[in-house]
Amino acid sequence: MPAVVSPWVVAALKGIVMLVLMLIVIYTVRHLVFTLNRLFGRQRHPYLDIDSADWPSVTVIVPAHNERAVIAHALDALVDVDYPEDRYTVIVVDDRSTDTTWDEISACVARAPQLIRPLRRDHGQAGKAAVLSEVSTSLDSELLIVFDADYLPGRGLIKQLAAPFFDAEVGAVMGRVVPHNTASNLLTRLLDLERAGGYQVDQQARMNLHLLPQYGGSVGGVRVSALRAAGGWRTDAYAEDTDLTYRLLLIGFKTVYENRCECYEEVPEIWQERNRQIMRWAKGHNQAALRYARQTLTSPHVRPTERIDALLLLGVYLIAPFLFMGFLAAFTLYLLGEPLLPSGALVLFGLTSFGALGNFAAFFEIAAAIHLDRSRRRLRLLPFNFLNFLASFINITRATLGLLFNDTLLRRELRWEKTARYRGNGSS
Amino acid sequence: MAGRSPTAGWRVLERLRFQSHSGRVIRRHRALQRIDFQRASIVHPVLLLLAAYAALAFGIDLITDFWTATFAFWLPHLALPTLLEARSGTLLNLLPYTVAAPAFDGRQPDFAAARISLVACVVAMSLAVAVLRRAALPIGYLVWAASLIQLVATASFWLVPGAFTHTITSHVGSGLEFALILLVFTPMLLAFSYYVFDYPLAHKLCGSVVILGGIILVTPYQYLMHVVLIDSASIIVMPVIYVLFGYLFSIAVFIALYAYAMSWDL
Repeated sequence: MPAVVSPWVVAALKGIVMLVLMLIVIYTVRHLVFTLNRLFGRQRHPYLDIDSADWPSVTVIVPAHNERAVIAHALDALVDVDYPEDRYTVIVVDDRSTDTTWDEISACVARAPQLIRPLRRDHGQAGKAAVLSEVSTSLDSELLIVFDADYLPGRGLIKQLAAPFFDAEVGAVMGRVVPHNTASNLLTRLLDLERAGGYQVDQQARMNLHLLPQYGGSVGGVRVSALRAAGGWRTDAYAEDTDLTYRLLLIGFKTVYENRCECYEEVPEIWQERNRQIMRWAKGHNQAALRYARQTLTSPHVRPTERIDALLLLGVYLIAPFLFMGFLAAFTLYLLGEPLLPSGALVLFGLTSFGALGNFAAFFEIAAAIHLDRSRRRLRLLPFNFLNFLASFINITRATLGLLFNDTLLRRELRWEKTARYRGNGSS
Repeated sequence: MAGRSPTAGWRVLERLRFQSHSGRVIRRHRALQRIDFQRASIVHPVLLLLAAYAALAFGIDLITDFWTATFAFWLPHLALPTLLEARSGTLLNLLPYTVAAPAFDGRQPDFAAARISLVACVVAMSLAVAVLRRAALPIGYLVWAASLIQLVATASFWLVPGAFTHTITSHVGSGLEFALILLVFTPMLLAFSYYVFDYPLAHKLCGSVVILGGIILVTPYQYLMHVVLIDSASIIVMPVIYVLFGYLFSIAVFIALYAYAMSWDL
């Protein structure tokens, strides 16, 4: 065959494919280590037995923007929790809602005026990070716990989340998020599989191995003094939770994961909503990667294994664009009639790429999580997770390119995109 | 008990700790659930790996003969050229094999084929936007991806004629080789993703048979379908078939069967 392109181009394309293959193999090995550790390793639940104590003062913040359908359920559940009343406050912030959210909040306040402090914002920067930043500056409690308006906590959850803070090294605590609207459609069932893999295996294994569990923004608590030492909430962060996880790490505080602290949430029921959610996460995560990768590499507060994990965690949402690049290179080689990689490498490529994206868990990681959850029939949906993979792959790549071009080069202003709710009379 | 082997007394205490008033087992909360590392956690993977590789070593000729026989049976029934071309190699430098693929190149695309391809892509993409935007968005993505691949392939056939050297023989031959490699990788993958679980040995044995057997059964029909499609539409459709219904499809078959086996309550 006459050479259509220079051998150097062919070599470069093959190099790209091999590089991408190497990257996703690294992530697959990471998933594998986590899975085996979660199945067989020593499980760390160091704060689980703390049942009675001189409990610290806690403020729960619930930011709410057009949450008419769900806010009353969340507040009623938060009022009903088992925690000393004199050390417990719920601050619910209506952030310029245009529906009847404020009326719902007012009705809840009337039922428990001693516990709930309602606030209404109609000016300043919009969004969760801005709400948290504004409210946190005037807090006088020791702990701050953040809930999204669609979350339903169990009675013991606040104590479970507060218990780890008796350890002075702990800066943040994260609990397990369990979707409760799984029966709605295929998407919610697939997201349930993904969440199970991410929390039941990934987060718990990172906890077991003394690595870096991620503070996820909701169903999580922060020590107020640690938050202030880290500089408070950043309002210019797309993912204030990831941002805080790394700032706490860099000043020497630990984030711990409590698998037993389960809280129930709504997952998106339509693909467009899911796409917006994953794009927001990808943008926020990649923004944190740009901000903290160098400091994570050099910080004296981070142990070597923790450093490796923290860097890999920062890179998870960069895998999609790399995978896209690898696919383009491989396809070009194919069209040029070049022999592709050896078949073994292709098998590896296919199997490993199906699970290296963002918080998308590897297939065996999901299988392990579902096995531990003892609901194995759910696994029959695993092949359909290819649809979730495809949607995540496309939208994470879009978000990453968007972050690079729109936000970094064109310096567009940060815009808060709210997740839709489906409880009650349909979406809001 | 860290660092010491469990004593009989400790085992009794462990059992009693999880025994309810009525004598049933109190189950751990799912957050604390783990698999106890037992002798079977090591013995099962080792045994099943050895058995799978022994079966593959002795059965590889049977597998490739089955694939050859499938092609030999169906090609004349589908009014396709019946000649098969053998392709030999060695798996992992250990296991020699010979696969047979239909021995013909496939039609080169003409102008009409390129025009139909172009129109089909535009129609498919428009339909995907119009119909699949809401409830079936990922299917829409899939249609868009397939259409874009097809558009790029059509453009490359037009812009760089002669660069595309793949034929039906090489397409099917490399696909069958890929399936063999997948069969070799499968027991290794299952060793840490299936055999380590606390299922009975019979569960794992049946699961392995279903997974390996499924790949063996599906492969020749998958590539037979490719041959039919490429023969009727020219090799202009080979790239899209290669990307979406070649290696990816084989891996999807593996994952579907793996998930099915893992979900059994044996």
